Amino acid sequence: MSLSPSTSKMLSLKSSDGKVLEVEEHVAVLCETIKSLVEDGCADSPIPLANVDGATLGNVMEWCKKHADQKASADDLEDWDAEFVERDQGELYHLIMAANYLNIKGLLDLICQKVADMIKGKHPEKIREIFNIENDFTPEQQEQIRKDNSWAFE
Amino acid sequence: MPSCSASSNPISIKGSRTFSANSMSLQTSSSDLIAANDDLLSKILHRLPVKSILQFKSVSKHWLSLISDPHFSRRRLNLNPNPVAGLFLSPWGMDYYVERTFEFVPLEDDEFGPSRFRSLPFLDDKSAILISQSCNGLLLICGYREGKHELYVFNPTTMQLSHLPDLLPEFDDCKRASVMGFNLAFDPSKSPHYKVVCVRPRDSSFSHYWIDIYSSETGSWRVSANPSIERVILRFNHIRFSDGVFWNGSIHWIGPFRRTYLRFDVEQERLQEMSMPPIPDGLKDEWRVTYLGESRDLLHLVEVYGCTMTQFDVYEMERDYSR
Repeated sequence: MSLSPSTSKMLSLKSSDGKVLEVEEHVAVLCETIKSLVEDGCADSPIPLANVDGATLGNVMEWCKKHADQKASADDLEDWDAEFVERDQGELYHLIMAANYLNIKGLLDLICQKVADMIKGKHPEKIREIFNIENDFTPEQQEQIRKDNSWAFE
Repeated sequence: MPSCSASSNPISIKGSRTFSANSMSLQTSSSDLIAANDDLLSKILHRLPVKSILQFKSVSKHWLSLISDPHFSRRRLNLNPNPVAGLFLSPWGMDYYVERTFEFVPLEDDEFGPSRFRSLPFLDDKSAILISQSCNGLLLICGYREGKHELYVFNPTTMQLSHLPDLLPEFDDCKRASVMGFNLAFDPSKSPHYKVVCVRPRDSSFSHYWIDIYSSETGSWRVSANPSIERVILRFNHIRFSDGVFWNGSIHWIGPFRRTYLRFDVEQERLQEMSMPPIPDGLKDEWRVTYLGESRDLLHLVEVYGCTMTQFDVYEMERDYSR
């Protein structure tokens, strides 16, 4: 089966909220999950993607389209990616979940780096707030960790 | 028979978390899912600077166990191989042995900030000490007091200090002062343990040699003595075995005379002679300064010919020693 752009056909992708997106096959197969469905001959009907909502799927396919474009240079892609990740936190978390579910390594790496850049240097309390985590340490345990890693807390 | 649906990845929920009314919004539930997925969370945390990672140990028990896992730091290293945090400069001069203050020149962005390590406060003032080697984030400190060597391995980031046990005395029938060099071998991407390699003669006539190896894993010294090691050392006993450079699993020493250098494979405990690039035509009689060093996972040989030249050759070694 050829996946080259010249013979690319269209695939239908159906999001969790029932939206159907028509995408060129050579773009959609940047998602390893979709690629294996295509290779197994399972991609004829609209492919149901139960874990990705329509808006996120649109964003993911926008990224795939850019990265499937063989005319784009590495510099060009880098600039484009830098703009692509300028979104609010909610969208970024949705993109991480979608990139993980659809198995798109490049996109997953990109968004993880962006989130890391956002949370670095933040106070642990702020991190708990962002990820909705309960502090399950006793004050003594907390103090011990600070002591063991004192240089990092200065 | 292939399954024709993109099934969802199982997501395990670990650690306790609270769901308040407003946290049920779409946005927060997605960050919840990430926080509960060890794989995704690790992918993000691997990309953080060390300082943030250590601070985030105090976020929750779940985060602490994730970050403290030895696999975590190894995977992180593979993602950011060979960071060079900066240079330590020690003053050079008559006080070489007793001067204990150091300058730190950071080369990374502000990750570490100014280093806390400016001196060696843990050693008393009477012992002569020398920072003899730096290897992938650890320093080997050699002291000498009351006729014997004191060895320390120091982590200037965490300020952790280990005092190594004495060399095996039963093999020490000549003076300890005759040790020809201590060398540190540490590669955190391969193992969390380090080794210290010591070359010394085993009799006072300097006709027999061996290599002692300390392993932080066992916490003890062991002798690596075999005829082939001894033969090579005997031919190269003019080499300064204290100035070894650890790279690619081996310690490398260069000598002042021949166009060869020595390579000691720390794992295999094999010592062999290797050849150096030829001296360029017309420079054979020039006065020559040679430097061997390691940076960003490459072994470098720098040679300066003549005393007035400001140009010099830098050779980089391939990992398979092909060129």
